[in-house]
Amino acid sequence: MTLNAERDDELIRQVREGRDEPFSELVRRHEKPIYRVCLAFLGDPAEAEEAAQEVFVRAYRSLETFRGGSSFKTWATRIAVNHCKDLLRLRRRRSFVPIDLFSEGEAPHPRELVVDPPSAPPDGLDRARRILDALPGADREILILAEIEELSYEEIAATLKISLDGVKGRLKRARRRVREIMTIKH
Amino acid sequence: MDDQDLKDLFAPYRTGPRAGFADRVMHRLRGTPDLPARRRLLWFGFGAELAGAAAALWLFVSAMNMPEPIWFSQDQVVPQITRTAWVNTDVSAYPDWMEE
Repeated sequence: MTLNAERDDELIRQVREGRDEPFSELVRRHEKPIYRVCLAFLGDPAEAEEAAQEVFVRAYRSLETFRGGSSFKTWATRIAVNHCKDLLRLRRRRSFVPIDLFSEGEAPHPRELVVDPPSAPPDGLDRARRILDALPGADREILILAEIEELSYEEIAATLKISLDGVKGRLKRARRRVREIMTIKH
Repeated sequence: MDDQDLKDLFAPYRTGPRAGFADRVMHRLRGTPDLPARRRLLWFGFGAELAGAAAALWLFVSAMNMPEPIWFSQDQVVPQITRTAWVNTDVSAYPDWMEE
C-alpha cells in the first residue's frame, strides 16, 4: 500500500518504528490547514510558514505522547493554536505600538478602529487580518477554526477543549462582532 | 451580511505554504534526533552505566580477594633510616580488632 493511501494512525505507527518518509506524508497531508491557522493568527505569510514548520517539528518530537484520542489533524491544530498564541504574546511584549491602540487581551470597540486612508485600500488578506486583529482573542480563535479552517463543531470542541454548546455560543458571538465591524467600516 | 460574506471575507486565508514545505520540515527535523535513535541512545547510555557499575563491583570484589602484595608489609615500607625508631614498637597496618 502506498503511503498516501495509508491512514494517519498507520503512518504514525510507522514513524514510531523509525521511518522518516511516513512523517513527510503526514506533513504533506496537513500542511495547508496548519499553515492557514498560523497565517490567520500571525497575519504574515513568512512568519506563518516558520510557525507551521515549528508546529510539525513539535508534533514529531511529541509523537510518543499522542494517544490517538483525537485525529492527528485536531492534535496538530491544537499545537498550532497554542504556538501561535505564544508567538503573539511574545510579539505584544516586544511591540512598540502605542498602547492607546489596543490594550492587553482586549479588543477596541469596533467604533475605535483605525480606518485606512482612502489612498491605500487594503487587499483581501490585509482587510481580513485587520478585522481579525480587532476581535478579542477567544472570538478570533474560534472564527479562524470555523471560517478559515472550516472545522466541524466537534473538531473545534476537541481542539479548544470546550463543549459543543460553548463552540456554538462563541461562534455566534464572534460572527456577530465581525458583522458589526464590517457594518461600521462600510 | 450572511455566512457567505464571512466565507468571502476569509477566503484570502485559504491558501497554502510555498512548494516544498514538507521537504523543509524534514530538513529541519534532520537536526533533531528522531524517536528511535533517541530511544536507542537512552538504552545505550543505560547499558554503559550498568556495565560501568558491574565493572566497578568486579574490581572491588577482586581487590578484596587479592592477596596482599609482598611489598606491602610494614618492615618493607619503613625506610632503613628510620628503622631504629620502630624498634620494639609493635606497629601494625591493621587495628587490634582486625588482628587474628
